[in-house]
Amino acid sequence: MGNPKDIFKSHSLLTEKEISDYLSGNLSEEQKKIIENKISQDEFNADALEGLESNPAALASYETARETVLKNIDKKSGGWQFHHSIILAVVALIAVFILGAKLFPESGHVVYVPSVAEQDTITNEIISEQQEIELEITDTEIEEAIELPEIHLVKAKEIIAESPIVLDTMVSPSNPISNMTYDETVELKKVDPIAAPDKIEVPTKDKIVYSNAPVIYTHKFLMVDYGKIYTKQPTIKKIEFSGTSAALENKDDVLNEGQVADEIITKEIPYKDYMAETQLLFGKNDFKSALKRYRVVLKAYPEDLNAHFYSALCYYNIGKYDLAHKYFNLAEKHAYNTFKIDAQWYNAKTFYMEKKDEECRKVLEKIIQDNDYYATQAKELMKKLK
Amino acid sequence: MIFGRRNSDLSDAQLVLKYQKTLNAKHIGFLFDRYGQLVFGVCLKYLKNEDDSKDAVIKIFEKVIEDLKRMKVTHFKSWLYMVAKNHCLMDLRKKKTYTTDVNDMQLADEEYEPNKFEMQELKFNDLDKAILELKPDQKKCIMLFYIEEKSYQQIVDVTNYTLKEVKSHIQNGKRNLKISLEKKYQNQ
Repeated sequence: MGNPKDIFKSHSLLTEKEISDYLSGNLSEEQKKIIENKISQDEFNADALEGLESNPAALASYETARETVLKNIDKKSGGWQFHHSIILAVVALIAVFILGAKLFPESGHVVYVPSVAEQDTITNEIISEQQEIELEITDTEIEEAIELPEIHLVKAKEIIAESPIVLDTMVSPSNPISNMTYDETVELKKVDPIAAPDKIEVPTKDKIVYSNAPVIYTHKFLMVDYGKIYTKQPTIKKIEFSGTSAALENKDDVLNEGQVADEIITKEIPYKDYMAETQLLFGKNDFKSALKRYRVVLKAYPEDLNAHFYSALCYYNIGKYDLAHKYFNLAEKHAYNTFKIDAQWYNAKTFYMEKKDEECRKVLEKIIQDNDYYATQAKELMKKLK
Repeated sequence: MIFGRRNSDLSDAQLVLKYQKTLNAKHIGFLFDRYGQLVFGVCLKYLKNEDDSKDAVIKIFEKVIEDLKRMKVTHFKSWLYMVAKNHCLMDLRKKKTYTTDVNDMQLADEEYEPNKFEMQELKFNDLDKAILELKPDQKKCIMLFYIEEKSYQQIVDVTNYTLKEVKSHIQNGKRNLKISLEKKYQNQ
């Protein structure tokens, strides 16, 4: 069952392979549907496919246009350009190493210097060595981690569709369900089939969990609404490189003392926006990128429950089970109970993946005993244990 | 990490920024790899001619290379779509085979706003009401496509509409939903 909100969801662009597969007509209905979602939700995709469908044979002649464009681009590229910012960055790098060796001859510390390529990245986040130690894993290790097979991944769809509806106590506790206004904070999940489109399924009591902290749904993901908790809106600091200073546009210019090749700007991004972007990454199954961003949040707000819970899921998905347990435990024992039962359930799943049947059984027994939302699923998982 | 990400992995915005900093057109090459075929498709739709479309793709990317040197473009994909569409419409107007409707032309220089409803926390009830207010054909197709998750062909089979009608009902229904929600939020 789809979600009406998907009507306005942006899909990524069509790839050349998808276009040729679709035009070939050899796809299953399910495969077609994925591509048709992209077509229906993006005018660019829709227009392009309409044009190509009108003349599928034309695709062959596109190759000649491609060659011409690439030749033009090649001419204008002029090969590899030895840009002055590269020279300056290399000089700066060498200087830092020389200075570092002189000033700290005994120290084994590595000074973090952004590479040229990283400096070019518009939203670069610097994590110092010390902070990485605190977070127990480096970005490189995250990048190198191997994701679980597709079938074992905990994806957005599961978290959104299979979890209970959470209401915060500020809107819900004493109100009978029938009188509640859902549209402010709660996303209803199901709409009846086309035969009765005017009927909306109201969640039953057993599907609702009450949070002792205000909640909000961001891109359908449940989040603690820290905007309502803090008097001053939380923000995330990010360091950006603005590009080469205008004073150094001419590569023949000499770098004067005190001048830097790139201007470093620290920007404060509203927490809500930062997390919204992060959840989008999670939604696209880009768990590694999302995880790096949760770590940035945890640097600024070590108690952030959203980062605890969602980073734990990311650690789970990349097979870092120890860290998954650590953050699921933090989420479970957090003063805010928003993800308490979810964290419990995914902790059990983590034990299951590790084949730690005894530990898994203990958690599942507790879930079943408490008869909470995940009790049925816990019973099913229990049957799979040896 | 010493060597950052490969250029082909960078986002559109990052590639645009790199191009603007270095003026090295190879960064546009990566964008061309992503969008070239789609631009060709758009040209085919409007120009309805293979050779004209090939020429148009070449000219459009020449324009992209020049314009990006001076223009601030934050949503490259939307901007490129407008550039491509405008190029085709201008081409047709030159040939006097098509009278350009003012509404068809969008200034590529103006910031094109991507799907704002995606970022907005849509109120479910508003959306639901708006769906119910659609014309029956549009409502039926929207429900089947987005809620029942049926493919175009499956909708054709269920409804007996033609494929073209199905696509048209979905597109028009979606447009009407957007208008209806915009009106509602403007009045609030």
